[in-house]
Amino acid sequence: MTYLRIVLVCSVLAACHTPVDCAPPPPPPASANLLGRWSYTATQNAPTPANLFGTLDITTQCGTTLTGSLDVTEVDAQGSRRRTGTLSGRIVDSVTVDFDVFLTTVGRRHVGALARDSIQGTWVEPLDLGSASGSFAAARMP
Amino acid sequence: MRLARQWTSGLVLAGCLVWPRLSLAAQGGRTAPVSSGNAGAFSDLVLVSADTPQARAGPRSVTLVIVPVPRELPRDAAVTYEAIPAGDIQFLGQRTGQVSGVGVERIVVLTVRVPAHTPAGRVVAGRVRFFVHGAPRVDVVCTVDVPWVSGASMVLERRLLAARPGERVVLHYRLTNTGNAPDMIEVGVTTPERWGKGVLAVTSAFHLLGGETTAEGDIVLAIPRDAATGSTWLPLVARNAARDLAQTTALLEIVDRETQPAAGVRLTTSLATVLRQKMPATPFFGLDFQGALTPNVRAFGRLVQAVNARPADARGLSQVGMFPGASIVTFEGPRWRFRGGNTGEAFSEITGVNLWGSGATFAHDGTRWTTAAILAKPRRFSAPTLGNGYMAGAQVGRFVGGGMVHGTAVAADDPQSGRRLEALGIGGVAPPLGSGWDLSGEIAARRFRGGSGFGWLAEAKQQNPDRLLLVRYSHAPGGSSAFAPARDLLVATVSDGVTPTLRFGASVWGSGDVTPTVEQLHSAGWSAGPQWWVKPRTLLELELHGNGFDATSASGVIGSSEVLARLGAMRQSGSFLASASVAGGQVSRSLTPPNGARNEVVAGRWLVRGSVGHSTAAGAFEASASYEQNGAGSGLLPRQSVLAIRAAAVPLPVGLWGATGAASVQRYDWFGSRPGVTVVRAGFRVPLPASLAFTLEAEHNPLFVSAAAGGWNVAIKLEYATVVAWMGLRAAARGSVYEDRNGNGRRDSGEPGLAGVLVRRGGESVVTDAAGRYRFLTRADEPARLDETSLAFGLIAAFDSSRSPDLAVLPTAPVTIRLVPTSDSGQAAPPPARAGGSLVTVRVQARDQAGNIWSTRPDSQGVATLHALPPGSYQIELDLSGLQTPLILRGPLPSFTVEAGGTVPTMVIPLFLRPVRMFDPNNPSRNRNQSGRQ
Repeated sequence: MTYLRIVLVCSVLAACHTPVDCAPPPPPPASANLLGRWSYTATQNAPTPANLFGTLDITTQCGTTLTGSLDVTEVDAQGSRRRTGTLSGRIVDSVTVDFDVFLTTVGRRHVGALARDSIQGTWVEPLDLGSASGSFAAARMP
Repeated sequence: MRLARQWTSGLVLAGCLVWPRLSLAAQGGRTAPVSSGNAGAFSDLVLVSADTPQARAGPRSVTLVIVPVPRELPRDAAVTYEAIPAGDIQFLGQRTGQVSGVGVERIVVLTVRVPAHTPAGRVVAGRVRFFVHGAPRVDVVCTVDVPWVSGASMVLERRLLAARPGERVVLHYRLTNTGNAPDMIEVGVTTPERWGKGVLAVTSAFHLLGGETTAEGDIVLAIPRDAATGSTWLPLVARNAARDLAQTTALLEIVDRETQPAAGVRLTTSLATVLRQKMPATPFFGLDFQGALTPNVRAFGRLVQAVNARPADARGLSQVGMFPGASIVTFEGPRWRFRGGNTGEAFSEITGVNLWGSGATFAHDGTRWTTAAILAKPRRFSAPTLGNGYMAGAQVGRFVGGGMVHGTAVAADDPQSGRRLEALGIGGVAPPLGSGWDLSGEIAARRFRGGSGFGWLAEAKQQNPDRLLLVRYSHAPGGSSAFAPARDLLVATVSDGVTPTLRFGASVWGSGDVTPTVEQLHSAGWSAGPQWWVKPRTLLELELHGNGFDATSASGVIGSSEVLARLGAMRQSGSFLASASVAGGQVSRSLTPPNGARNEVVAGRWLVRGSVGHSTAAGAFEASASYEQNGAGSGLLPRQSVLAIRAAAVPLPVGLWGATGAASVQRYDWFGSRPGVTVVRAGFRVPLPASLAFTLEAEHNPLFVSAAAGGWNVAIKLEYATVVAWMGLRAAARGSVYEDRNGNGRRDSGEPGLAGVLVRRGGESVVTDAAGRYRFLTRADEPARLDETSLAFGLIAAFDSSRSPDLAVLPTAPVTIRLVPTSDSGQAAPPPARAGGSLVTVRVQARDQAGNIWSTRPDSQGVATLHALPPGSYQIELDLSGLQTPLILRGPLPSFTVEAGGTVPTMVIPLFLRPVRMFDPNNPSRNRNQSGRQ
C-alpha cells in the first residue's frame, strides 16, 4: 500500500502542474490553412509492405499547432484492418508540415511537403525493434 | 447412580480442594449426611464431605488427585479408604489402602486417567470412601476439570475428481467434531488463483456439531470454461473461530473437452455484416473448422468471403471474429505441419523473413532432420502491379553431435513492394558449451534488386532459470527491401536474478536500413532497470528506457528521441489486480527540411497510469486511468487523459445458458486542445436453439472520420456450429464403467454405469459420461484402467484379468464387529482397561473364500469396523496375542455374507478372562487350549 500511495502522490503532483495551453499564435506561415478533411493514402515499405487508405481530419488549427484524427484501413499480406487514432503536430514553415498520428500509444511521425491542396512526404514509427517507415500523401477533399 | 446424583446435588456447593489450596479448603469444609442404608445402624451412615478434590486434566491424559482424609474422622485412628470410579474416568493403580498418622495432614493420592472422548467441563471422576471402625463412613467426591479441546477430522468421499472445463464438481466430505464440546466449524476450499473467486457455485460450509458427532456436506465448484487442463490441488480446511482444525486435499483432474466421447470435427458456418448509417451492408460468409481427421492428424481452417464486391468494414467484422482476406487451412501431425492459403515463413534475418503470400508452407521436425519450405505467390493488396511475383524457399537441417547444421535456399520477388531476394545460406548451431552457452551462426550469399553481397549473423546465448545473456548481430545487404528486418541489426539482452526476489534486466538494440522512401534509417533503443518482488504478489519496478531514430528522406532529415524513467508497482490480491506507474523524461524532435535549416525541440513529458481489475466467474472487470502532459513543440498534444471502464465475459441473465456480454467506455480528454470524445462499445453473444448463436457488437466511436462518426457501427453475426462425425474420429477404444452389483464380472441388466470416473490409458485420460461410457481417440496397446481414487466411498475396482473394456466396480458394505469382555457368568465385564488391557492391540480379520484378507483393529471400546468389504462370504479371525491380560474365546468365530447393496448387522464376539491355571504336565492338550492366540 505504501508504494501505491507514493504513486498516487506523484500522480497528484503531476496533475497539478500548470497545463500547457494554446500559446498566442505566432505569425502563421503564409496561406497554410490545413483545416478540413483530407483523403489519405500511405505505403509501408519496412519492415513489411502494407497499404493504408482513409480519411485525415484536421479539426483544429491553433496558430501552427494542429490536431485531428486519422481513420484508415490497413491492408497487408495477412489481411485488412481498420485503424483510427488522433493526430497532433505543427506547421513548420510554409511548405512543411510535421505531425504524429497515434494509431497506437507510439506516434507515427509524418513529415510532408505542402503543395496547394496536397501533402506528400515520409513517415517513420519506432517499433520495439527497429522502425517502420514509408511514404504518404493527402489530398484535400472537396 | 442414586448416590452419584445426590453427590452432584448436595456437595458441589462447597469449595474445591486441590493440592495447592489444601489449607484454605480445609478451613471451609463441611460435612453433610445424605444417605443411610440402614437408619438404625450407626456404621451404615454415610456422610459426604463437602471437600471436593479437583484436578485439571485434558482428554487422553493421566493426572494425580490429592484427597485429604476428612476432618470429621477421628485423627488418632487408622483410616481405610476405597476409590470408587464413576463414569468413564478411571482410577489407575491401587484403589484401596489405609492412612494413619497423628499430627500430619493425612492424604490419599490417586491416579486418574481421562479418556479421549471426555466432554469438557467439570466431570465427576468418582468418590473415595473412608472407613473408621465405629464411625460413620465418609465419601469424598473427586472431580476433574476437563478443558475444551477443539478438533475435527475431515474425509473426502473422493480424493480424485475429474471433470471438463465448464462443468461442476462436487466435493462431498464427512466432517467429525473430534473435540470434546460443541463447535461451529467452517469448511472452505482454496481454488487456483487463475480461476478467480466466483467459482463456488454452492457451498454448505458451516456446521454446528456436538462433540464426537459427524456431518456430511458438499462444496460445488464451477470450473471456468477457460481452465487449463491438467491436475489441480484443491486444499480443504475445516476451521473454527480460533484455528484450523483439519485439512485435506482433493486432486482435480481437468481433462480436455476434445477427448470427451462427444468430440468431433467442429464445423462453424457464419454470416456477418456491419450496419452503418447511410452505408449499404455487405454480408460476409465464414466457414471455420477444427478437429481431428485421424487420431494423429489434426486440422483447422478458416474461410471468409464477401457476398458482393463492395468494400468491407474490416474493423467491424473483426469485432465479431471475422477477418476478411485471411483464409487458411492447416493440417498437423505430431512432427509436421502443412498450411495452405494465406501463409508465411521466416528462415533467418539473412535468408529471408516476412515471406507472406498465398500458397503453402510445410515444416517437419524429425529426430535427425528438420525441414521448412514455402511456395507462394505474394498477396496483392494494392493496385495492379508489374507482375505476380513468387516466393520459394526451403531449409533443411541435420542434427549432428548435439549441434545442428542447416542449409537454406530462397528465391523471392514481390513486384508490388519492390522486394527481391535470391539467397543461399549455410549455418549451424554448435553443441552446447560449458556454463550453458550456445553459439550459432550463418552466412549467406544474397542477391537483391540493385546489388548483391554476403550476409552473416552470429549469436551467443547463455540461458538458465536465473540468467539470460544474449548477443545477436546480423548483416543483410539489401535490408528490408530484400526480405530482411533491416540491413544491420544488433540485439543484446541481459536478465539476471540477483536474489530470489530481485531481478535486473537490460537490453540495447540498434539497426540501420535502406528503403525505397528512406535513404538512411538508423534506429536505436535501450532499457535497464530492476524488478523487485516486495512480497510474493507485489512487484515494484524501475525502468529507464530510451529510443529514437534518424531518417534521411526526400522530406529532409527527421530525428526523434525519447528518454523516460518509469516507476511502477503491481499488486495482486486474490482475483484483484492493481497497477500504477509514473514516468517522466523528455522528448526531442528535429527536422532538417530539404534546403532548410535544422530545428530541434526538446520538451518534457510526464505520464501517470493506473488500473485495477477484478476477474471472477461473473466476468472480468477493469477500470483504468491515464494522464500525460507534454511540453510545447514536442509534437504531442499538451495534455491528454483517458478514463476507461471495461467488463467482459459477463454472464447475462436472459434465461439462456451461456449468454455473455461485454461493454466498455473510454473517455478521452485533451483539455481544450481538441474536443473530447467518448468511445462506447457493447456486445453480447447468445446461444440459440438448434446449435445457433447470435453475436452483436456495437461501437460508437467519434474518432471515426467516416460518415458514421456520429452514430453507431453495429456488427452482427449469426453462426451455426455442428460436430461432423468424421470417419477418422472413430474411437480407438471405448467401454464403460459399471457397478457390478452381483459381482459376476459381467454387466447385467440393471447394473448402472458410473459417471465422473477417471479412466486412463497411456497418456490419455477421459471421464465417463452420465451413462458411465468412455472413449479414447488415440491408439495404445495397453488396456484402459480406472483410477480408483476417483471412485466414491464404498466402491472398489474389481480385479479383472480379461482386459475387457467394460470396467467393473464393486459396491462394498461396512461391517462392524464388537468385542465384549465377558465374565464367566456371561455378564459383560468391566471396561477393557480392567479386563485384559486395551483391546486396540487385537487384530480383527475377515477372510473371503479366495483367501483375501481384510484387516482392522478395534478402538478402545472394542469396536472394529471393516469399512468396505465387497460382496462375498467371509470368516472372522482374531489375533489376541497382543493383549496384556489374556482373554480367550469360547466357541467358534462367526462368518457372514456381504451382498451387493446390502447391510451386515453388527456382530458381537464375547471374550472371556482366562482363568489362572497351573501347568499340568499330565494334560498338555488342556494347556494348549488355554493359549491366548486363537
